[in-house]
Amino acid sequence: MVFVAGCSSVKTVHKHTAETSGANIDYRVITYIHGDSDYLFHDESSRPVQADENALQKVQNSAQKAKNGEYFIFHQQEKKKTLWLFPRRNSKLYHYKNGELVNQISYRSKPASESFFQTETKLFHDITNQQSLELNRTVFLYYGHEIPLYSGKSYHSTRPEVNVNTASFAGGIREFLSGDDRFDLVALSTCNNGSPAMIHHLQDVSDVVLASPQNLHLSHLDTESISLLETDPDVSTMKLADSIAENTFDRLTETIHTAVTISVFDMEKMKSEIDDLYRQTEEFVDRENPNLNRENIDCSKLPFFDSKQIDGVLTYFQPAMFGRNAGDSKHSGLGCKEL
Amino acid sequence: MKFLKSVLSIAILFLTLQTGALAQNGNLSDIFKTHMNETVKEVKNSDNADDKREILDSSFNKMLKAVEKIENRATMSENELAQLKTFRDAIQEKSNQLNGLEGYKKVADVDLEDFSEYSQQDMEQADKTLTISITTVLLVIIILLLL
Repeated sequence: MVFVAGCSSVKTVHKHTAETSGANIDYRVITYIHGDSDYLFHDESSRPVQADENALQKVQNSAQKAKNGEYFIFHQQEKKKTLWLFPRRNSKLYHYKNGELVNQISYRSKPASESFFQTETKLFHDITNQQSLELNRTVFLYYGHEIPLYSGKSYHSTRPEVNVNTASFAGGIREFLSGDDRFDLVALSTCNNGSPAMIHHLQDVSDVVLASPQNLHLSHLDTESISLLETDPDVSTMKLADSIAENTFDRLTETIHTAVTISVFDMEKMKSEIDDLYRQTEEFVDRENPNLNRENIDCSKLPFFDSKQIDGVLTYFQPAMFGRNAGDSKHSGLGCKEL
Repeated sequence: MKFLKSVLSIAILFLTLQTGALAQNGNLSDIFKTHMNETVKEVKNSDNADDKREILDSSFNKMLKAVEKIENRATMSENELAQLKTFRDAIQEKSNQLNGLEGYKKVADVDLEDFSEYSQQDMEQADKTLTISITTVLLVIIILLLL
């Protein structure tokens, strides 16, 4: 079924008419794939790949196998106009229930005043209609470039006015939730966001966070392990996150010669230490004024960092084959900006 | 090979001019990434270590010159300047490592292919991209410098 919505910012291009609202939904996965930037990379055969398209394909494959789950996949894309005048609905929402595509919606974000995720959360709530489901698990996946610490301008190439930073990210995804709900898992397929700042801001949003404290190749996190929620619904969220991290690490380390670092953070266990660590990193940035465009280093290389193992961090680490840090043998699991 | 390169150059120039009125951010980043990809392919297709090293050295130098041109000709914000500096430092570091300068141990002959892939992967991380707006004319100069 196709609905034409004229000048509306939303157009439904596919809607499944069968009754699906009563279907058994045991878990929900909300995915945001950022595409309004440069996401070109080359695979091991030197073939060009657009990382956002690649991620979309991977997540759609997972969604089609989710017989007991529901997927919302937002593929945000650059703002375009028809004949330089009429804004186009370039971004897409794919909504799957029990493995079936039930909604496909083209949309565009509204004017400059909109905050990060505002259009997407509104669409999400319009569809779910505040319907409360007894969900066993709620997962949020994010694919994109590094969410910057503070200076978030120009994150979207064609919407530079939208402020994107760790605080606006955490506040934005919080809007997908109702009341005091939390995500069970937030997985960030980005560079440098396994940082004290991001963990601090996500404390009230998620029980477990998966992120890379340093670089993560554009070929991104694997999502096959989410199928554990099908085969073993009682699997702990830590184990689920660990499985995603381990599979991704194994794949990346087969071909990637840069450092590969993926961490899983147990937010409850980190509660007593993360605020202190965040305060120290903030003071360090204020005092030393590091170049925030540079990639992270292991926080344990900074003078204020207590070298003892931080409770609640599980890290997969392979050092780079070349470069200054090629000889590193361990990683604290947290990434900080260096001087 | 020369003929193919010329055809490719004209095609890139044509496409660039077609999109000249649009934002140049993605184009600039893509141009460097495409250039590095060609370098990796050339390194892999070459049979001897001296040639591989020469290909890499020449590629890094071309990129450094292109960055210098952008620095000298474009009007950039503080943030764009910082981005460009980070990008230039990363290439300079690769060049130093290749040649065993600034305290680096020279990359061994046997590791040159891995090093070319490492350099490419480092450029293609899911990091911030190079979001610098430059004019079409400057973009064309950059393309020509990288040929």
